[in-house]
Amino acid sequence: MKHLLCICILLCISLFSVSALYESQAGVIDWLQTWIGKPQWMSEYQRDDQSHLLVFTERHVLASLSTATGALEWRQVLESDIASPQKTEHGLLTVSKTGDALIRFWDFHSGRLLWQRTFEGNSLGVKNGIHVLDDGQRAIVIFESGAALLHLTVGEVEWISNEGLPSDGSSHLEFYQLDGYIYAVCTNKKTSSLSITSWNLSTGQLQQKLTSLSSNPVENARIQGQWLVWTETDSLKWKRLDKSKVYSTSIKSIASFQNPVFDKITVLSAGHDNRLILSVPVSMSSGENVVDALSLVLLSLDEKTVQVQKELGLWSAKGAVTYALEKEEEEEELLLHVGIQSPDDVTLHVFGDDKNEQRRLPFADIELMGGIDLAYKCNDNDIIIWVASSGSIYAYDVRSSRSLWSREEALAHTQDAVWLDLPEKQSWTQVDEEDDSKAGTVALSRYIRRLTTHVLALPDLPAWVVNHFVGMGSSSSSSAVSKETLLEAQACWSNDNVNTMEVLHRDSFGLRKLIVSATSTGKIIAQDTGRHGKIVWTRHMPGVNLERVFVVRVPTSAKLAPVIVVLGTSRFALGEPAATHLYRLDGWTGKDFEPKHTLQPDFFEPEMVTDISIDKVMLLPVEEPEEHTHLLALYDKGSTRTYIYPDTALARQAAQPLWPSFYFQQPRLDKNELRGFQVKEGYRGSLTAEPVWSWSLPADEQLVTMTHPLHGDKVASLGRVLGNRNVFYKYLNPNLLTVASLNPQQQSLTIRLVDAVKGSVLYDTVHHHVPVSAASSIHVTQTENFVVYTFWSNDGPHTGYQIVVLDLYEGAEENQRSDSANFTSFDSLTPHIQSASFAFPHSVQSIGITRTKNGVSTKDILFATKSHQIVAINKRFLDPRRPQGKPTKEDQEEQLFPYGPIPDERKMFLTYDLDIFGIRAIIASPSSLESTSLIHAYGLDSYFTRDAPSRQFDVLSETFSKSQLLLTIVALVIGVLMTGPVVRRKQVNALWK
Amino acid sequence: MSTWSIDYSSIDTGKKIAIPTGFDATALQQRHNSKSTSSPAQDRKDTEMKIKRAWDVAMGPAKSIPMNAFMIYMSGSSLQIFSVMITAMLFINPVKAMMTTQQTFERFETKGSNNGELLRAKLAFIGLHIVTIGLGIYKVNTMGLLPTTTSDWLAFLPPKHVLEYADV
Repeated sequence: MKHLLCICILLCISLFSVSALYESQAGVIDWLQTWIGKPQWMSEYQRDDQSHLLVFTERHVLASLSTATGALEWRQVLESDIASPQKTEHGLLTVSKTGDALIRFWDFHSGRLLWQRTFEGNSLGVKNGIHVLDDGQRAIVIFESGAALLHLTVGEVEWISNEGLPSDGSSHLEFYQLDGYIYAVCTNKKTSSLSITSWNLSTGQLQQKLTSLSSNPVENARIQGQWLVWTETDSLKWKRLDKSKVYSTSIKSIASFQNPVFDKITVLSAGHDNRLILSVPVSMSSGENVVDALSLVLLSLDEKTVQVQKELGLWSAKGAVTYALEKEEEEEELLLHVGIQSPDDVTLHVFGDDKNEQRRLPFADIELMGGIDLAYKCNDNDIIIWVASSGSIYAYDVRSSRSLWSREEALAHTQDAVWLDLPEKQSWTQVDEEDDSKAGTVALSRYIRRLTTHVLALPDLPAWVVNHFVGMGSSSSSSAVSKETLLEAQACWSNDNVNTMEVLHRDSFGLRKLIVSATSTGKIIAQDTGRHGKIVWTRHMPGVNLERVFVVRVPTSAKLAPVIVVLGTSRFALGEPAATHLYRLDGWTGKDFEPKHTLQPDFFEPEMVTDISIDKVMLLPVEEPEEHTHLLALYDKGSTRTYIYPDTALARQAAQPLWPSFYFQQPRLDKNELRGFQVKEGYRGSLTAEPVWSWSLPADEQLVTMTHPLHGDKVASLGRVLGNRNVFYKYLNPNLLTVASLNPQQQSLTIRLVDAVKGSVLYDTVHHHVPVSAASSIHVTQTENFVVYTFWSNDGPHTGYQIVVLDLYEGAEENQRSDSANFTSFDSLTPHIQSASFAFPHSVQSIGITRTKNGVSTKDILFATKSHQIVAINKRFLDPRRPQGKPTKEDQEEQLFPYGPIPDERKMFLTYDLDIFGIRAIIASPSSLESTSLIHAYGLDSYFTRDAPSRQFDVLSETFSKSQLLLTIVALVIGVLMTGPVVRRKQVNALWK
Repeated sequence: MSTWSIDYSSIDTGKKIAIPTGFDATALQQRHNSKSTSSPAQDRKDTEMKIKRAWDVAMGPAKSIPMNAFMIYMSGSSLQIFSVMITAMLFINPVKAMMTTQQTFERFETKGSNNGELLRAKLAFIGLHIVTIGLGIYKVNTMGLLPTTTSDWLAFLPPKHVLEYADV
């Protein structure tokens, strides 16, 4: 079998392998989900009588969505965070938050950039340091030291001033305009002061600097009409803008608040100049639970006194205010608040001059949301759009009380993703039978049941026949039927789907799998690759930053569902040690994993929270005997202790034989050092990690990146066959680590191969002319016996991106091999390296490698370029043995072609004309076809495709006409049947002659 | 196939049939007589003659060797129907010929003492065919079908068992 495959591959490779997609396959076998991330700012505009939503997200994406459908209309992925955008009549104004202030003005109808201006040496001082003046034509930008006034139409600078805010540490600004002056009220957390700075609008001259209005920490300041209102610890203070007298009152005296949290009080506007709403977070104890709520009070200010007009009662803390009168025309509604109070519905609170009503909007997915972080009510229709803490966007039609559309933007925050195989279709019926046999049903009844299932399956027979014979003429590889449009696939999974959830099963070629992603917003999302990535199940872990996913049990049959462990951290407050969360879930349904052996003494909960800070999590190559899940080892750097998960007696027993041969490595970035550990079993089975080796980088070098081979990658051939039919034996060391470090002084990049067991450097190489600024261009990957890395080189005529490949062999001589059945790192065997570097036309932001079932196909190295594409370069291009001159006969036999730069061949782009933004990682998984590898890229967008590095040698080509073959066979049979009698008659006649 | 047949038993042999024209019943008789009366000298001459003929047959394959070699050279070392056929012939023909050695040399056998000479001829015959097979083996080797190099045994190598497990 292996040989046959080898021959097949050789035959295919000889046809210069370039994998590309047919036009008809684009969008059928691959899908791209374009995401924007969790919105942090929303607005709206009208075009063609339709309302469109403008958003800016935590992933620094400025985008426009259709309010009616949620479809993405345009988006701009910005390189850095921006201060909250300012919408004017003519466009959208943004300023970059970090670095030199980059001011941009966008046309929100088309998403085009109208103009941009950079202020060199001036960075934005305060988070919201940009303000559009009342005339809507000009905007003021406040820098760390200085300010500038811009004309919005062309971005022309009217004036720029070097005098600005008093000192650093400013956190919030409020603006107001009076008599040709612009006033900026600045809250300063560091000096706990409130200052007012003003500039002359026509000249830019600094008029006054008024600091230290207060002596206590100022939490909140707001300009309300002619008043400046702020809170200081437990008192409310206000002053007229044009006067200096400050009035004050105690918050406690305003109304009776239960356990108020003073440092989170917010002041909201409420229409008239002298009215405001005070929102005080309170925690109430109802029964045993402590419920967080907001206590709202409508106040009216006048000189000297503050009066309570109305107490608005308690409002949900898990919610967001969509507006507290920011719109003139909505006079009757002063405050609109969307919150969560019960597990079944979303509460919409509307407060106006003559109303104070609460509406409950039935909504099924409260538990998938966490809280509501941001809400927006569209102007002319009753659509409310809210952003859940989990990252999802929901649009809700209030009039008809139903959900309109949703977007699972949590996927833009994916931290880690894994593949899961689906069960075979037949095996589901097996499950029933096995369960029955346990119950002890009679054989006859089982037989009858089987017969009935077959009879029930009869109606599917014509469809099956059609599929197998009529459908043969069409393409074979688009096996999974995808009815969903991309927009539907991008919608959130709803709890309503639980009951109607169809049983997923594998297709015949194993091209359909699940992708399980864990996001930093606390969501775990499983997507079906066969249906444009439609979400199959979702879980939300509120407040947990999920970081890793491990598949601890690979599905072997339908009875043993896959088990995943999701790892995350949560912090109660900044600076506090993080708590680690571990969740064990069933990979196919997303439900908590329920062990079958519930009688075990130390039964393990599906969720484990520990306040041990875990620095490294390792998947061990041993299974615990009861549930056949792989063990995880958790290492705590502080106490050097190691824990196993699940920590049952049997699991400890199973792990025991592993410890003597188990090593792990942990970098100490502060000391530029790598340390190797071995786990030792101590008193009463407690496990401690003992340092075995440590290896420091040279003092003037800094670690850039490191990588390690994937465990469980299959290697079909142990050597490389040369043209003269000799062999270079591959150096296959699964414990090899590649470390890339930069030397800023000498501008050199050093690549080292380190054995993680003994901590010795097996090979190192230095590349000069690599500037520190190009550190982001350094990416390393490795698998089997080769390492591939990219970097930017400033080396004279060779300036450009380069790819270097290192092939590791057991010896420098042909046929040289160490003859032992075992591989141990403690042998003196060092790899012989063959290396070559190639010029590469693209800048790289992430690298992946294809994986196939048996590792027989060649490998494609997948480069995610900064031009938002994925390029697949076959390993045959990245081959150190490519001859410098004319290929000799032996080189030809080895199918080597002359050395040269990597061609900029459009056929190598897996992503054809798609733009995939923000790729952080590319993961690959084998399908049941040896030729084909499944590829998933995530980061901002999610992209799925297939790649056949050695072409699809095990699948008939798309152009192969099966119908023609069948027709030929039929024609031949008919021919034989017809000519048979004729020939027989002729023979008899010949005998008579 | 045939729907008709001749029943020979129905032929009446008792019927007197005239001898065909030109048939001389004594002719066969004369020949038998002349053979039995041949001289020993004549016999020896026959034997020598047979040995000579046997050697001619034995050396026959030698003549085809250069031709085979030329064909091998011309067919190249690539795998095509032509070269495969020629290579197969190089094995099948000699083997067939060697199996039928006894029949080939049967007609040269005499009752006399020339068996030693004949055996040598047979051995030469077999030897030359082995040379032809050798040509075939050479041809197979040039086509790269003989497992003589290390790469041929690569697929049978068991992977090394890794003793340590490191999580890096």
